[in-house]
Amino acid sequence: MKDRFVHALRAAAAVVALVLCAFAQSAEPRVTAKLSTGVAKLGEQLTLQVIAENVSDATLVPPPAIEGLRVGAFAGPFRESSTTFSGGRVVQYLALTWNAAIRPEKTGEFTIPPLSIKIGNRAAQTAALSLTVVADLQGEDLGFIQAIPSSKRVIDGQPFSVEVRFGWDARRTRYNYAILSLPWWRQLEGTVENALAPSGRPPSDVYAFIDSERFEGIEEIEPTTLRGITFRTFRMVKSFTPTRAGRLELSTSSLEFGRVVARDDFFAFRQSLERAEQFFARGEPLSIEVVPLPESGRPFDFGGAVGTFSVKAGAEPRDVTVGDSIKFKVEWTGAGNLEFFEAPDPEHQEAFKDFRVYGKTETKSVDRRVVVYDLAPLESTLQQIPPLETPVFDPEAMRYVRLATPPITIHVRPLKDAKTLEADGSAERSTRDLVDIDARALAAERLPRVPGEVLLGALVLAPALALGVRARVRRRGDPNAPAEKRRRKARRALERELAAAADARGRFEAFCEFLGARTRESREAWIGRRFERGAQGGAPGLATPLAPELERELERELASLAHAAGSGGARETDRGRLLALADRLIAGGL
Amino acid sequence: MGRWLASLVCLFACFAPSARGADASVAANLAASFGAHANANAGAQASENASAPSDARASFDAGVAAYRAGDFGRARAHWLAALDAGGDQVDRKALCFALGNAAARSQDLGAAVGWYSAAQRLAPRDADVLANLEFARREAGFEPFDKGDLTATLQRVVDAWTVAEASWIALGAIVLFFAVLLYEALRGGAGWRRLAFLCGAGALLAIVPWVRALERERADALLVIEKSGAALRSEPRDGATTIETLAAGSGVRRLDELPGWVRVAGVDNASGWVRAESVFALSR
Repeated sequence: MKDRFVHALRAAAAVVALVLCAFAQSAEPRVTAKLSTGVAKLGEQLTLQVIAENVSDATLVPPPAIEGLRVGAFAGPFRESSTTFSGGRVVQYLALTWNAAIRPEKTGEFTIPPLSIKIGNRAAQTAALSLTVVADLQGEDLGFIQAIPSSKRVIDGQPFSVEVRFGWDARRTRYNYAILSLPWWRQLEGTVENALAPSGRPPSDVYAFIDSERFEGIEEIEPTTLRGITFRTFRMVKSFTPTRAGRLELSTSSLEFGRVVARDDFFAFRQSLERAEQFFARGEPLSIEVVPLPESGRPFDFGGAVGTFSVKAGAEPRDVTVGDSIKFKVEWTGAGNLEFFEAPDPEHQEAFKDFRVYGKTETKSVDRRVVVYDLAPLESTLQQIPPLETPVFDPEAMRYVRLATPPITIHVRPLKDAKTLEADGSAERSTRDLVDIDARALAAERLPRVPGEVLLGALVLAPALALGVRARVRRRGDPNAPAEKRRRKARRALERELAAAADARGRFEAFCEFLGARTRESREAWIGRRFERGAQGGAPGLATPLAPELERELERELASLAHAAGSGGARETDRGRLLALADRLIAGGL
Repeated sequence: MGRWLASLVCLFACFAPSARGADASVAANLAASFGAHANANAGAQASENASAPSDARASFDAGVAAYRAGDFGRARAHWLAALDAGGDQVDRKALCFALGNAAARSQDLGAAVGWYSAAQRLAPRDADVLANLEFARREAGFEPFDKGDLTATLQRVVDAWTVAEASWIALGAIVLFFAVLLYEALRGGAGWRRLAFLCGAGALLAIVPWVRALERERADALLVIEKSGAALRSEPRDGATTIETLAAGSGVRRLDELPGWVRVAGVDNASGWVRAESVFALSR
């Protein structure tokens, strides 16, 4: 009953919804754009919001670049819909929203041009927006940010680093946050980033962010004095390797700093930070020139190594036989693109013609490059691993140089019966081929077949025969019944008990137990049993009558055993005679 | 399942002496005609190049001598003569194996695969035969004989026995089943009863290889040895519609034949005609 009611209610709701949708008024599409503020401080982050109302599907066309404003990627669209009753009518509202972060990089008046939104096969445009960006004069006095390159002119492939220093007036001890806007920090076009070891411990009393993301890689250094003011100073470093010649532009950096207070929000699962004081400082843009590697004097085997390197080498083992593997370890250190150059290949160097190179393993880091070559000497006459040369462009000397490892003395023992690895390897290589014919092809003695008739007959007759036997046996009772098991085990039990019996009583009881088990009776039934002969003779209770002489022998033996047991058991009874009688009784049908 | 039932029915049918005799004579006639055709070229070569000894042993030894001398065509002729001579002087499996080697050395890889397959039917577990069969199939570009998946493994276990071996395995399993049944009848007990059921299932399973071996022996099996596969045509002429293409190395069953053409049934029992030189008779 309840289920039927619920179903009816659902159906009614669905009908109402359909009716509402049918009568709902959908207004004309409308697109708007708005900024979180019309006047902003230099470095402050704004939000540009684009809204398309009364449309269910639309695409925002990315706006063109605006000089002086850094517009981030648009997030969205976020969908919002509602249905309301207004003036007796149903009004349905549907809106799509896109958001983007904007950060001014210079002061002045800016115009954000109309943004285009594609709705179906037509386009709608927002109105142009105006933005005024002013410098935060107080912030410029209270804080600073600087980007300092290791060199303003580098060679293509030569690593360089950029250190960012920032801070605020050391007297403003309550300031506790910094948000750095560094457009080039995540990715600098025309370079690859070098991994750097983490710097010192970040200050525990300062929250640092780079473009809204928490950043832990800053360290506090000695205070800096600028413009006569002492600043609490922090630094962070990034290292790059240029991948092409040209000019690298590191656009304006800005710093937002001040004081935040933590607020505990009951409904939020984490502490939120709220700005209490906010200032902005601006850094100067930076340009680094990357000059191409000179063509003149470039070695044909140049692998792109640029820097000031030193090299050392080692080998293990150094006492080997021809063809044995030697681990030839070469290590380059110094300042340069250690991670990126191509390690020299000994196989391409004439000095290594008497070695076979099986392979190499490499480990790379910003300050070290280690390559372990797997070499095998081919000649026993070899006495050293020759110098391995690495062509390097030295940016300090501005010329190509050849770094060489020192020669390493080795002892190469000859192979047995061969001088060189080639000689030893000239033996025929094994490969798969046909197995040869059997030239004897002696006909093996043939296994005779079991005729099918026999097999099928056996398959049918064997179960039938077994079932017949089973039925016959079951007529006498279940052979697995305890009494039957006791009967089958009686002879073995008698032998065991006779051996264990200490006196005549024990033997008498064992024999009675045997008789009881064989006749499916209790042992006591045979103690003092009277043998009354009927018309056909035979012991009473037996399924099969015993032969008269066997019956008399049993009667005598029982009487003898009973007497011996009653007289204290001094007289020894012949165990073998009892077992022989038991066998005769079993054979006689007991 | 249907094939199994059909096999069992055929099995029972074949025990009738008259039926068996008739079937055997038909099979012998077919085998003789097809064998003569398949080996026509080789036979002609044998009569031309070798005065083939009538004694199978002597023919085989002459073939070995020719093979060792690198005259694979002559060796093949001698061995075919030995195969035709029959008798118990030479192991037929060894003869098929040797013929496979002669074909492989002559770069007739399709025929080599056929001969090794024939040898494998005679000695299913012979490691050398299996090695050469796989080698020849690989060289010929056929699928491997042992695909290595579960189905192929089970099939190999079931087919790893000759008819005689499989019949003794089946008989042993039935005797064991009978012994366990008898013991259970005499002694009783749930354990023995369970064992009897297990042995019964085992006996039925043990019959499977025997049935399979009989089926394999009785089936007039052919192997497609055309490297690009054999066109199965609706009629025995080249212009007839191609029903399907039989994959190289696949097995088919012969139903009938005409000069130059053999009617076969494919894997899905679709019947059609293929060129006689595209297939190889495996009953040797």
